[in-house]
Amino acid sequence: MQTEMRRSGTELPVKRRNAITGFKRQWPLYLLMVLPMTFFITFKYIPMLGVVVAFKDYNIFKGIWASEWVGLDVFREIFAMPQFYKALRNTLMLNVISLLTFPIPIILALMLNELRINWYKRLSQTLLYLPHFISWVIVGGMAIQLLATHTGSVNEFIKSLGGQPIPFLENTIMWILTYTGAGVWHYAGWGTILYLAALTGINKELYEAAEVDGASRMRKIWHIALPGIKPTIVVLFIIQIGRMADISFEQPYALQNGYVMDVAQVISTYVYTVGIQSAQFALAAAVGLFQSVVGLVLLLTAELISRKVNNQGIF
Amino acid sequence: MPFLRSLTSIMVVTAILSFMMGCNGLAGSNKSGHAEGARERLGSDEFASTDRWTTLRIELFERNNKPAGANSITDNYITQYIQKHFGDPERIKVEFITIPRAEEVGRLQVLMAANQAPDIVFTYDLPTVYNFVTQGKLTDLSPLLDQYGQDLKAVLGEEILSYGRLNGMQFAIPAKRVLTARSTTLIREDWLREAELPLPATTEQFYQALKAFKKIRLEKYGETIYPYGHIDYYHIAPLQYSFWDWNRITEEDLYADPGWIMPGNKDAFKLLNRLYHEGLIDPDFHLDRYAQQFQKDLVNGRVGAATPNTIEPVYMGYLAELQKNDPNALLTPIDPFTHANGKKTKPILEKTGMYIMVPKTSRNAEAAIKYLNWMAQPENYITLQNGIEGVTYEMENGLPVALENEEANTLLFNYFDYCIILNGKYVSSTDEQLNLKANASIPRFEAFALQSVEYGMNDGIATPQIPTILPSEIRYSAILNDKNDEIFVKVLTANPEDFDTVYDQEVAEYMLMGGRQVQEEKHRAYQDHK
Amino acid sequence: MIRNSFEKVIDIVIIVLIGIFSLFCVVPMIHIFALSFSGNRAIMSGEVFLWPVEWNFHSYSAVFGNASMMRSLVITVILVATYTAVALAMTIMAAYALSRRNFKGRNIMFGLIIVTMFFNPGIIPNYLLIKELRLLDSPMSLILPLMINAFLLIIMRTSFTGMPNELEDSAWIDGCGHFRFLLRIVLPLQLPILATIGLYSAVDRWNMFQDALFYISDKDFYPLQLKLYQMVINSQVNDATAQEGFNAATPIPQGIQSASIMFATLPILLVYPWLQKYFISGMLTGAVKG
Repeated sequence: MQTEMRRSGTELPVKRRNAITGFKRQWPLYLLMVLPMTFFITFKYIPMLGVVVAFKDYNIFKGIWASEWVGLDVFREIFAMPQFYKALRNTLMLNVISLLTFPIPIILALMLNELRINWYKRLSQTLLYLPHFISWVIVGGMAIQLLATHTGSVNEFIKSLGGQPIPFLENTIMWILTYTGAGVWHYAGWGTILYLAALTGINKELYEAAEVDGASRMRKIWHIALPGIKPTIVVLFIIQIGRMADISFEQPYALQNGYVMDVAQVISTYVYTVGIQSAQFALAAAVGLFQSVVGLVLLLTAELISRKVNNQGIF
Repeated sequence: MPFLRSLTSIMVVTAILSFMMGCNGLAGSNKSGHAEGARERLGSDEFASTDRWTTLRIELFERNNKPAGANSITDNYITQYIQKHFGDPERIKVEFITIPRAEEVGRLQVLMAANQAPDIVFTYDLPTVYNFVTQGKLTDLSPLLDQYGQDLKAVLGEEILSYGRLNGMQFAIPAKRVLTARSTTLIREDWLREAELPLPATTEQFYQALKAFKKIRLEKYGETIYPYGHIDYYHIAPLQYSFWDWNRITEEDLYADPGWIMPGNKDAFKLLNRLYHEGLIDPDFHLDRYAQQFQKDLVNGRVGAATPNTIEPVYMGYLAELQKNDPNALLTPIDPFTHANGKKTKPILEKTGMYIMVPKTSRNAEAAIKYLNWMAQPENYITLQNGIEGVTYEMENGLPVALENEEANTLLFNYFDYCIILNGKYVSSTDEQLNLKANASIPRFEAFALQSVEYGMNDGIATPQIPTILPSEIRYSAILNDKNDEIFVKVLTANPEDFDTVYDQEVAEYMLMGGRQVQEEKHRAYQDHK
Repeated sequence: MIRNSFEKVIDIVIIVLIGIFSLFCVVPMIHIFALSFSGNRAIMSGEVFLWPVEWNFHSYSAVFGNASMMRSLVITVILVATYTAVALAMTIMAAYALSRRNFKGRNIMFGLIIVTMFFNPGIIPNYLLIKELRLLDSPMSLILPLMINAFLLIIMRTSFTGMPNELEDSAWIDGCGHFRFLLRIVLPLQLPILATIGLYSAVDRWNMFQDALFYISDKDFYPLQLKLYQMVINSQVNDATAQEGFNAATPIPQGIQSASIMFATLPILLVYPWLQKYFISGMLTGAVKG
């Protein structure tokens, strides 16, 4: 097929040159970008000016520009708080552990792709993505009903089998596992959709050719399916690296309790307590800015490494 | 500077007030440069006609608890009553702006920041209130209060109003809290009878009762129960206070020092730690963030005793549920926690409810005060809190008695949200007993409620209130509250031999996290205030 | 033979693993389902786990009998449909342009877009912007600020970039311009990713409520999820009980909450099976031959 294409190209040199210059005309592309860029400037960049809040003694009522500049005091204050480091450490720790679960949606998607029973495939896909629709507020309540050490249904069950109850929500290590497990439960099924879409895009002829060569199932997965979704994997992985310093508010907040605050207090919940609840917007904004810069640096680093190793990245 | 600013605003308000005398429909803005306001003012200068109506916008909590068949909370008998009896005669159109209860603080902050807040706003959150004060965002209400607020002053009284005043500026009208009892301990009297024990009158008897509950229930019935439930930092306060060495605690200390460093506090937690390790309290207590599990457990007869908010079992309905499940269940108020000196010292609530404010951007401060003053007249607050006489309540010996019928359910499900100047039902400014009775609303549980309040108030001691801005408290209070819960769990569940180490270490951390700053600042504030 | 039985074993392992994971995912939903059909007493006594106890439809009749819930449903469906169409159109435009290799300035623009993923200005600057644009209380405030999700844009762009170069070559042979190429060739070939991005946008909009909380003051126009959230959160405010003393309002029974969750989840769940055909392998067969 490729050779055929190349041949046709050499046969029509003149027409090709004209066509390329015509095709290269870029005004339609700029035209396409007008609305999107207007969107980003209006709804992202203009409010972003609000980030200057971080450097100011922010007074919500004076507005952003009229507030007094306090330079880097806000940052100094944040970096002087021992609690902030704890929250930062926990954020990074939970994110690194969650990163270990990154392959789960990929594996699920590959397995779904291999399923031959159609109704089962459709049904399980639908079931897998159910948890995404249950908000963390509700998950938090259910986690307690199911996992509480003494009263939770799961531990009741373990006890009825004569086992020792497991402190899912109290022991720090168990809590980290519970947190990670809840994350997998909530996101993994939903995440498979992206990979399934990418798998769908793989040229079926490749499979047919492999079939002819007598390649095994595993070989097909390894040599056709995985390379086919590699761009998606790389992009999602880099983005997740970029989000290392960031963490959702709902998930840790829904699962934390007084017992495990040493590992469960993360940046988002800390900012909520210190910044939002106490109306210290400058502080909240400064922490946000710090996270953004760290995230951006991580993203660019991951992008550079990926370019070197893989010759592939986001850009 | 702040003084100058408040002086200017007072002058502006007075100027506008005198201007408004002949121009009823226009409460002026005291904030120049508010383009729309300026334009409107200009327009009405030209046509200073008396038939212009003002719109008074009032915040209203949206709790999403409207029963089927009820009218909307912004248009129903109560709001129509307000419009007819207050709005129409004053040529004011009353409009309610709903704000979700659970997000009220965040929503209010944004509305204030964008100069979009209603004319009357309120919150319980003091840091937010003081934030508004520091930002110069509130109208000084003292002149208006003097002029239009006689009834309001009479109902609230000078003490309550003084909590809303700072440097002579009346930045807020604090609501009056009718019942200040905070929490009351309850026990399963039927279980006590089975154990042949009296109603506990001392801490020791209470402890023995818990042990007996566990033993009998477990051995005789094989049921897992939690002799003492609803364990959290807020609700164990009566027990905690009964251990404090009150000879060494001044009023200033009570105001300024965190509970953790009070003399005797450690002993209170030693007892709780013992209860935990002896299996006398709910082992999963720290997971029950919203006390939902506790309610379920109580209703199902798995809790022997608890110290919930006073009368909560009645108004949250779980006392009724318990009796439905188990007609023999007898939940009885007791007052067991006794100090070495024989007193039953326990905390009670402050006398104020929420803080009602008028934003500086409001052009209707006068109408706002008139409205609050109107609300302070007996026939009006009785209607706002009780609905329609003969339909939702009957007057019996000067006491509005709620009727249990469909109309009452659909009209009064949020009765407490309209009469914002009062927290709790209010009947008489002279007869406290009458007020108490009014709040024990369901006749079936009246005895329970009255007894609960009596015990909840017994030897009660309120934390002093000082109207002052404490920057470090605004800064640290939320994080310290979280820390309270954390220490609470760690100290209760600590190994008995590590108890002292854990306690001291955690409390030291608390003080380092800002506890020390708050404490020092409060001491200074208290002394300045004296 | 050996090989065949090995393949069979793999099949069975996959079926079992997927089955376990599906169960793991569906159990909590069944729990909510069971609660929604159970009696209040049974719920309070913690008897309900995976099967309704004291079957009844009270919770559902309360939800369906609530005119404002029904209105919210209609509003939400219209909102989500409009939003998805707008978001897809905008994302396609940007993703296509940014996926063209020769497009000058694409890296700068793409960089500017990626930066926005990291800087979230917070609620007050956003609120002020919406106010200045006079979008408060307008449904547009729930659509315009979210038109492009940078994350989804990157995904779509990656997919567009992955298309074989030959397609572009054959397009120029046919004398196609960018617009025709996009409409006639790229989009039909990219149906799976369009379905994915459409689904993600629709579900994001469906599940989101924080913006409506601030931008929409008339609760008659609240989206469904905001109503649901308020219902759940209002029964969890114990600070309020403490602050208000004895005045707190009775929370909404868990049965009704659960029925509302079902009510607010089922419609959007139905979207997926409808799109599922786009996630079945083999769509691209022979397409490149064109």
